[in-house]
Amino acid sequence: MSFMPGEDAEELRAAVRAFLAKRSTEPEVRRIMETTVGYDPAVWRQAAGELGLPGLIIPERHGGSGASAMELGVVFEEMGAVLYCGPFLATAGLAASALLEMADETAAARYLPGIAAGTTIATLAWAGPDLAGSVLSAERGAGGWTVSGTAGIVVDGAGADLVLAAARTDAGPSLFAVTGPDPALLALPLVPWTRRASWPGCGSSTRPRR
Amino acid sequence: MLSDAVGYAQARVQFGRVIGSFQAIKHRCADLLIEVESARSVVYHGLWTAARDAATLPVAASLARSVASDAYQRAAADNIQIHGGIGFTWDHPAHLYLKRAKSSQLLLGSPADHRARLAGQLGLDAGSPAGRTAAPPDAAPEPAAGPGAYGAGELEAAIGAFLREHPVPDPRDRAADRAFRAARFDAGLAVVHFGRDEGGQNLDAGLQPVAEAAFARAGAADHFARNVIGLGMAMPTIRAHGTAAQKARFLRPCFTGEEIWCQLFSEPGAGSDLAGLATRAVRDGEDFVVTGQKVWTSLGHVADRGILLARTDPDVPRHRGLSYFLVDMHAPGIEVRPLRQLTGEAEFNEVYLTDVRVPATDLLGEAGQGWQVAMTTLANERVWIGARPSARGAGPIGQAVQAYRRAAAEGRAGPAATERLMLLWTRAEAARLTNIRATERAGRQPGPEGSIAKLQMAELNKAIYELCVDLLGTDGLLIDGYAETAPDSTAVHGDADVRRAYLRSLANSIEGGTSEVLRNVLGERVLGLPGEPRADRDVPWRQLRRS
Repeated sequence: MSFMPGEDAEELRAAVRAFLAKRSTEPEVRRIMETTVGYDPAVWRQAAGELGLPGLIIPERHGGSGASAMELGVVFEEMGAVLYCGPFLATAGLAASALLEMADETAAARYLPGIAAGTTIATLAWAGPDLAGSVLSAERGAGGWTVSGTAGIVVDGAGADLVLAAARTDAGPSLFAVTGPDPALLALPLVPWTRRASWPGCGSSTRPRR
Repeated sequence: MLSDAVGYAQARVQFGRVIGSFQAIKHRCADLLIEVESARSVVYHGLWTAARDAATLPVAASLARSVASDAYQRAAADNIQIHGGIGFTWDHPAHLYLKRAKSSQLLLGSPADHRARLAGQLGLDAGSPAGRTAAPPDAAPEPAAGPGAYGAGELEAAIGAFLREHPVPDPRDRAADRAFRAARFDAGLAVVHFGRDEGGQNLDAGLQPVAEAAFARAGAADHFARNVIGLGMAMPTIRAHGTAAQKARFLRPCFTGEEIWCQLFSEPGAGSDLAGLATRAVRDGEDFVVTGQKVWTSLGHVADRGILLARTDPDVPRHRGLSYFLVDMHAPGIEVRPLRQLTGEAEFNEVYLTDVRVPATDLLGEAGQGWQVAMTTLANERVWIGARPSARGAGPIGQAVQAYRRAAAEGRAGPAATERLMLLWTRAEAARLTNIRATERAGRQPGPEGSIAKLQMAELNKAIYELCVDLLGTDGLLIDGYAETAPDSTAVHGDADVRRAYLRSLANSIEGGTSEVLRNVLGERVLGLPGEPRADRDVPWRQLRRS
């Protein structure tokens, strides 16, 4: 057996390529690069509705397609080839993978269907591979958890409805779902390297989910 | 980006030529092709691993990130360079790719960071206990068998049945070994994709590694190093171009080892430019009479037969006047002299042919078709020199890992050595995975994948063995002499003594097509860039300037 993409992945590639040829032309890329959120919501909805891209690796029971990493990789390849501007890496790659890795059915049922439907833009705020030494920390108070710290660069943070923040707690590293828009989430758009990234300062954010 | 760069190189004209016809541009494009194919291999392998084998995913992911991220950044920067001034403008999209590539490195970790992580995962960082020798994990699938009802399981069963009838002899007993291989040939288990009378049974070529592995497990002797020209080059060429009589005469004794083959192609005046060769073959009744000098003839001193390229018509342009012969090396007029190389050994020979009579029945293909026949040989040569799929971490890079561990145990391997080792480890692994992809397509006429594999193997071997020697420190000086020996087997892939292996590796980027010629092959045949303007095209060979 081969480690190369199979027929299903190649069919998906062809569909994605055709879609992007129409909706992610060079003039569009240049236009969207200059916007604050860094993507075209209409194209995102279409990518969700017609191709199911945001929910590609999300299990069917949560509204996704249940595809493998191979399909996800093929979509990345096609998007990269045309410099597609949109929160695919943040939402379908980082956030969906993190939620699936957590194996927390409650959190999965709460957030994954919105991601799969294209209605939730999500991202992951993490400070390097050493989670135990994360600059984000969380403490439990009377009204819930409070996440504090500056997460550094967060991909597509400016337009995110949901920021998954990896933070230190007394019980070890934990993942918190910070739903926006939250005034405490300070989005500072950076000079783009064609990709929107933001610096959300998590001052005092509540409504977390572990 | 590669296609952007190549497209521009095919269209942009300077100095009255398309810029892609200049080797300075063409070779840059060829190197980019290798980078891109390496990236494809490691990324797809990483995705495949992610879907199937969580335990080895960290290694596969670090490998993919480091190789692919380097490739992207280099391709993006080279794309700007190939475009020249226009590539530096805001309006051209080249800079957008460069920025995307660099932002990915900054965001997801630099290639060097990922190599450092990988070193930790493999127990090869400077802080690891030196005694740790666990084999690196490997999730790569075995080379695939092609589609078809007859799969690896059936072939292994057939070989099992064969082995019950024919016990494997002691490999040192040459006569018994030949009889065993003759039986294997007659059972259609020699080269499984060959026809029924040719030692095979028309199976998919992807099954050949299954057969080799099954016989190796049973303890059968490996003839490859002993008769590499015969098995790797003469057999596929005779099978492709030979008459029924020639196939019947030559294939079986070649496979059994009864006849050892050598290659009579290169000449003192015709190295990379093989088509310029001067050895003449003149028809005389039922024979051709051959006179000339050949060089770099591996195994010439033990060979029974040679594949010979000679000029039968000097009055037509170079490529059209050549013919291909299957020569008896014991014929009168053939003199083989050892050629001592920089290692001190004489693996190679010079072969002088003086009025050697070669029967016309030993002409392979038509007279004048020698170049086309030789192309089959050379494509197969690059496949066998370049692509010997092996386990992860085996071969030269395995020697480098051992050398590194010894140096680390003696406190002589710092972070710079770790980075150097991991850079080579990741590139060797990418090349290995690319070879597996090539093997899946092998058996049809070998394609340019063989050129990629051969080029990578050569450049990697040189760098890996140089690292091995450097890791020895002053012990590297203690080479154990330069005895002139003439081995009866070939070993292009190194030596247990890394000092000798390093010296031998200097030939790797010359033999079987220089790295420069292979970059031309990749640039022209794969990427479609135009060839150099030629002073010798359509000129009769007799009128050409020669050195």
